[in-house]
Order: sequence, then structure tokens, then C-alpha cells
Amino acid sequence: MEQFSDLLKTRLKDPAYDFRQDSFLNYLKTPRRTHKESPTVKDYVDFSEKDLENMATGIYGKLDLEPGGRDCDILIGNGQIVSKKELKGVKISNIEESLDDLPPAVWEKKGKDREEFLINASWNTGYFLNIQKDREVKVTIDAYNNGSDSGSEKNIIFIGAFSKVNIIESRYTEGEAKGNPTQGKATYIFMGEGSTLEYNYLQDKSTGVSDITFVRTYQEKSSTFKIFHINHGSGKLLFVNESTQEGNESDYRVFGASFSNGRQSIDVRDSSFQIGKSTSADIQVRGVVKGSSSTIHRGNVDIELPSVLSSGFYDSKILLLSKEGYANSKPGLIIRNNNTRSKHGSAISNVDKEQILYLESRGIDEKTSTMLITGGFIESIIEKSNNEKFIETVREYSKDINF
Amino acid sequence: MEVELSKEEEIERLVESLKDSKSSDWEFHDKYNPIYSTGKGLNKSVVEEISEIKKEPDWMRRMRLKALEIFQSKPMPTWGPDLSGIDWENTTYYNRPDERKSQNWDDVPDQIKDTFQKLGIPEMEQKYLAGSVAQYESEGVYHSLKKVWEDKGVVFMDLDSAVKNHPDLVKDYFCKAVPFTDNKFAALNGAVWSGGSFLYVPKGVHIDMPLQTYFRMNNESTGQFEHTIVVGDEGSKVHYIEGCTAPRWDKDSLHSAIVEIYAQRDSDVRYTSVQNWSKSVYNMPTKRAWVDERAKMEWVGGSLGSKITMIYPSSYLRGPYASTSNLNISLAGAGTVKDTGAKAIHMAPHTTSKIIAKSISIEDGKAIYRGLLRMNKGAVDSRSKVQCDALLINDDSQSLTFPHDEIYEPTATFSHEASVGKIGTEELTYLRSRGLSEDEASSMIVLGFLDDVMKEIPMEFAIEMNRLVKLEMNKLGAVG
Repeated sequence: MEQFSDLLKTRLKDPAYDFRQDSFLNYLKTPRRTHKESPTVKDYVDFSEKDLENMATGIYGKLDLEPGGRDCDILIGNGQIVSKKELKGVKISNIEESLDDLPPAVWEKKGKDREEFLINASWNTGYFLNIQKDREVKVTIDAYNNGSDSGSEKNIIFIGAFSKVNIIESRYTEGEAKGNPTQGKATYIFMGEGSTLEYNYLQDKSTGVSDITFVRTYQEKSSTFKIFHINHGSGKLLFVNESTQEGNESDYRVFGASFSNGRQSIDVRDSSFQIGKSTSADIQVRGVVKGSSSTIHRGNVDIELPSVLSSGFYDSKILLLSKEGYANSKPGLIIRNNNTRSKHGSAISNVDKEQILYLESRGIDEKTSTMLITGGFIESIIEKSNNEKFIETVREYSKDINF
Repeated sequence: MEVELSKEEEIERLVESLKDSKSSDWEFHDKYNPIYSTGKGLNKSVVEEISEIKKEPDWMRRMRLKALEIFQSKPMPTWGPDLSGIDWENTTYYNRPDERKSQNWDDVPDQIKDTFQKLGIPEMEQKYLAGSVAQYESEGVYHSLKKVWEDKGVVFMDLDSAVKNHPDLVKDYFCKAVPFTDNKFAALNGAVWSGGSFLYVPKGVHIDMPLQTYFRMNNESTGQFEHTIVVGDEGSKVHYIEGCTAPRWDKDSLHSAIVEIYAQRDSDVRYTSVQNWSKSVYNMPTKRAWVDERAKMEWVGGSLGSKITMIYPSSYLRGPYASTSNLNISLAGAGTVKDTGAKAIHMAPHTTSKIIAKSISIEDGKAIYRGLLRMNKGAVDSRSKVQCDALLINDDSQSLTFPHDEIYEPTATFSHEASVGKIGTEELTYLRSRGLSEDEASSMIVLGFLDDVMKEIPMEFAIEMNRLVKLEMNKLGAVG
């Protein structure tokens, strides 16, 4: 990291310079977690200092993608827009071209986590999606990163007041993964009063790539944020999703599913941070573990002192299907006022033998029985999405996990 | 014959009982000066001095010095409550109250005896206990065991006496389950430990009455560092109870104990602890049990007092079909933090664990559940259930829950549930419609919330805990 300060000076002569500098200082001030003194602070997905250095110092180059024949509104290569369709009330641009247009709020949100600070200091590409108020739009984004490139992106999404938006964002790897690249991105979503966003996020990168993703949302009054996130790819993954519910009566719902196989390590964190009055958060995550892989689900329901009449729920279930894999869960409740309701639950087990026996007694073989049970396990999460394409893709994954 | 009371009578009795409850029942202090003290601060010569006074063998002196090095090299925990208020320099690490270790209350110095009498210990011993040890400051001052158990080979005395009288037996277990390298506070205990109990129950012996140790700190800015070892040999059964109190001072004191429990094959060990340190005590014990094949280990705890408590009793389920349960009540009163929880490590097939934690936060009290549940690879068909419930009484009361669940065995089954809430308006309305005042109804709901755990606590302690919970509620004007 010695060269990083110099890199910061040469690369980043933009209006975000102070922001980057603060972020980098925050990164330096935040110690790497250790589990030596307590099991409570253990990094389960081991991103080494080298991985983080690769991500911070990597510069995404231009990625040539053929726009033709792709079923998406916006095609992104290495964080830069390759092609886009005109959508009414929607403005999308590369972030480096939009720095002067971004509202000050963007630079006030510096994040909370060590890896996030580093992304906020070092990004060199990303998009700015600005949806005007009172619109009803659906946006499909397909994004590819080169399999041999390390780097980081910063994405900003603005949802205007009273708009209803459905986004499906799919993340893939272009070409063969080489050299263990680490790819980071921090997506910040700002939701105006009364707006609704359904964000369908699907990540299916090559297992030769390590991925660090932060999705941080800021909700104003009476906004509704519903996120469906599916993590299927990447060798090492840290996926962090947190909504700050600043506005009264804001509603936040999470439906997440993760699939790990082979030697994948997956760390999925979903949290609420409730400040406004009468807010609600409902987080449901599911995981399927195969091979020698590992999955950890964590997240806090955090209801702060002013957030009276609020509720928060977190529920994690993981199916541990192999002898070599393992699963952990660390759900937390942080409740700072008593005029609230909150609950969390987590369960980890194999497929229920009684259920398999029941299906076998109906003439279904064990393999198909397992497939049906795990399929139903994931289906309960994705069926609430309003995006058919998204649902279909995840159904394919559900079939695939069954050997 | 007991007459069943109506709800109204129960409430009336509850209110009446509170009139007599006051914290001065246990927060009084005696003008008793120790006959020997190492003075304030901790260094190599203090540790050597403690070893010298106790006339310990060389291996123990060397072990203490090694532990001191580890204590000094380990950083403070970077997680959990703020411990910056611990005044290491101005704490006295060893106070000897008296030369004698009596086996008869008449031989205990009057002032110390009066203290334990005020706490009701001799009376309790006579009525309910198979044996008891009383520790005052750094040393056990009294120990007794009923002859019937002594004849069966049971050993129960303060640990210092056991080191002298049963050195080989002690050496077999000392610092095995909790090595002093475990954490900073265990290392501190390793360096300056004094007192604590040693209980050995031979093969096949079932003790049908509990044994108890009562710990009392009297002076300000002192530390109590007892080390307790409980061994349930194969097929034995025992219930061991600990209670502790201290007066309230302006300057804080430190309690950093070690409890090691060895539940050997087919044994049944229950450990109950009711902690009611005053609000000037940092309470940082390390408690751990090794549970062997088909053995059963039960932890029952009430964490009521102290300024800050960090305690996570652990069970290492080492043999097939070993089981453990951990039932705990935490009461976080105004200005206090209870960082409590439990750990269960499943290391063998067909092991089971159950953890139930209940907490109540009053005023700005903060109750934290922090636990670890781990199923190691090979813990085939093991099962575990963790449940934590928190009740927040006031607007600014806080509850934090941090469970850590690690499953490395695909045939294991595990579930965790936690809930946080306040006294339900529906329950209140129901009770009020039956003629109870809001305060009476609140109190009844709080005690009902604790009932799962309370019913597992021996009657005498349950009454005491009920009294303490009601007392805290009473301060709010919620009862009476």
C-alpha cells in the first residue's frame, strides 16, 4: 500500500478528491479484524492484503463487448457504459462524466466497512443512474468485468420521489479468469419520498474471480425498498447490503439466496439501520452449500433510539448438503428503544430425511427428491419478485445445484 | 400444607415482600481490615509475594509468573463493553482476612461471621446444603462438608487447602479446561489466583443436596480472583452453587474468576450461580466445562449485579451423547452493562445442547447476548437449540444480540431464535381487565417472562432472585 498515496494523487484529480482522501484515511484507521481474542470478530472470507491492494491499485481498462443480441437496456463493460437504450425519465451516464452533477449527499456517505472505505478511495469507473420523480420504469442492466482485471467501481442510483422502479442488474465475467483478480464495487442508492424500488441483483461471475460488493441504500419518508439478491458465482465473495431508513414509515425487504459449491467462500451480510419512526425491515436469506464450499450469513437488525413504533425481522436458513462444506450464521439484534418489535432466527441443517422419505414413498428417487426440496427452498424467496427473467434464471440455478 | 393463593393475595404478598427489600441487605460493608495485603498495583514481586505467603510449591510460583507475563502481553479485548474504567494500578490484588481456615462457624472471626450471618449463609447451610465454603476477600475462611459425604470420598474445600491436602488430584485438573493463556483475564487469574473451591465427587456417588460457595468482597478497589474446580467422576451426580455479593464503593473493584468443571463419563453436574455484585464491580469470569461421553452438564445463572459483566459459560461436548443446557437470566439495571451468553462446542457424535437466555433492561441498562454454537466436523447427528429473549422496560433501555453459529457437520441440526420487545399492551390490558393495576400487571408479566429459567433455580435462590428483580422494578415505581 506504500505506493497508494502517490497513486491517489496521480489518478484522482477530480471533484471527489477530498472524499477519496477521507475514505482512504478511514481505511487506514480501521484495523483488519482478528478472531484471536473473540469468535465474534472473525473474517470468514479471507481477503488478503494482497487481494485488497490488487483491487485498489487495479485500473479497469475498456472492455470490448458486442451489444447486439443482448436482452438488456444498459450494457456495461468494466464499469463503463458500452451501450444504452433511451428510457423515458431515465438518465444514465458514466460516473466520471457526472461528477459535477452529483448532489452533495453522495459525498457525505463514506460507508462503514474497511473494504468499502478502500473502494470509495480507489474506484475509477461506475455508473450514475438518475430516475426522475413520478416515473414508472423498468431497467435491465447487464454488466461484465474482464476475467483478468482487478479494480473497483462506484455506482450511484437516484430514485426520484414517488417513482416506481424495477431494476434487474446481472453481473458476469467476460473471458477466462486469470491471475486471481479482485473486483470491488460500491453501489449507493438514494430513494426519494414515497418512491418504490425493486432491485433484482444477480451475480454469477467466474469462480476464478474474487468479488467485494456493497449495496447501501438511503430511504426517505414512506419509501419502499425491496431487494432480491442472488449470489451464485465468484471464488471468494463478500456481499454487504444495508439500508439506512432515515425516513419515517419507510419499508425495507430483503430476499436473498446464495449458492456455494466447489471451493467457493461466500459471506453475505444483510442489515437494517432504522432511524425514522414507524419503519419496518424484513430480511429473509437462504443458502445452499455444496462441495468444499462455505457460506456465512450475517446481518444486524439495528433499531435506533428515535425509531419508535418500528419492527425488524431477520431470518436465515442454510442447507448444508456436503460433508466437506460448512455454514455459519451470525444474525444480530441491536435494539435501542423499547417501543419496537424485533426478532431473528437462523437454522442450518441438511435436507430433512423425513421429507425425502415421504417423496420416495411416492415413487420419486432420492436425487429428484433432493432437487425438489432444495428448489422449493429457494423458490420461497424468489417467487416474490416481479421480474420473470430474474425468476427464470434463479430457477435454472436451483436445478443445477442438485448434482 | 401450602395454601394456594389467589392472584390478589399473591400480588399483595409480593408488594409486602418488597417493603422489606433494600439493597443495604447486601451492600453493607464491614470495618474489617485484612491482616495482610500486597498493597496496590501488580508486578512480579506482588505475584512472588502471594506465592510466598501461601507457601506454594515451586511449580505453582513459576506458573504464576508465566501467567503474569501473558497477562501483561495480551491486549484488552477490542470487542464488548468499555473496560477502560478498570484501574489496574490502584487495585489491591491480594487481601488476607485471617490466618485461620475454620471448619466451624464459631472459629471464624466475629466480624466476618457476622457478615455471612447477615447474608443468611450459616442458616442456609444448616437447612439445605451438603457442604459449604465461604470466601472473604482473597481467602476461604470457612469450609465444611457433611460427614456422610466425606465418608464416601467427596472432597470439598477451598482450593488453597486442596493444593496442600490433595496436590496430585488438583494437579490433574488445574488449568486444563481453562489454560491461563485463554484470555487476558484468565491470565490475570493465573498470576494472582487465591481461594475458590475444589469439589471432587468420586465414581458413582450421587449427592442429593447442593454444595455451595459464597464469595464476599468487602473493601474498595480490591480484586477477587478465585479459581474453582468441580470434578464429577464417572457416574456421579452433583449440584454446586455459587453466590456472590460486595458492598458498593465509589471506587471500582474487579472480580476475575476461573471455573473449571469436569463432567466425566455418565456424570450429571449442575452449576448454579447467582451473581449480585454491587454496581462498583467489574465482573469478568471465565467458566468452562469438559463434558465426556453420556455426561450431562447444566449451567443455571442469574446475573443481577455488577457495573459491567462479561460472562460466557462454555461446554465442550467431548464424548458421544454428551449434553449441556445453559439457562441464564440477566438483569441490566440503570447504568450497567450485562454482556452475557453461552458457548457450546460439539466435538462428538449425538451431542445435544440447549441455550435459553432471558434478559431485562431497566432504564438505560444495556443487556447483550453474545454466544457461540459450534458443531465440529464429526459431531454426527448432533442437535442444538438457542433461544434468547429480551424485555426492554424503559424507552432508553437497550438490548443487543450477537449469536455466532458455526456448523461444520452436515448431519447436525441447529436453530436459533431471538426476540426483543417490551411489555405487551395486550397482556397488560388483559390483566387490568382482571382488576390488577398497571404496575401490578407489569410486575407479573416480568416475573412470568423469567419463569422458564426461574423454575430451574433452587427455591432459595429463586426467591432471592425474584426479590432482586422486584426490587429493581420497585425503584421505577412499577410495583408497590
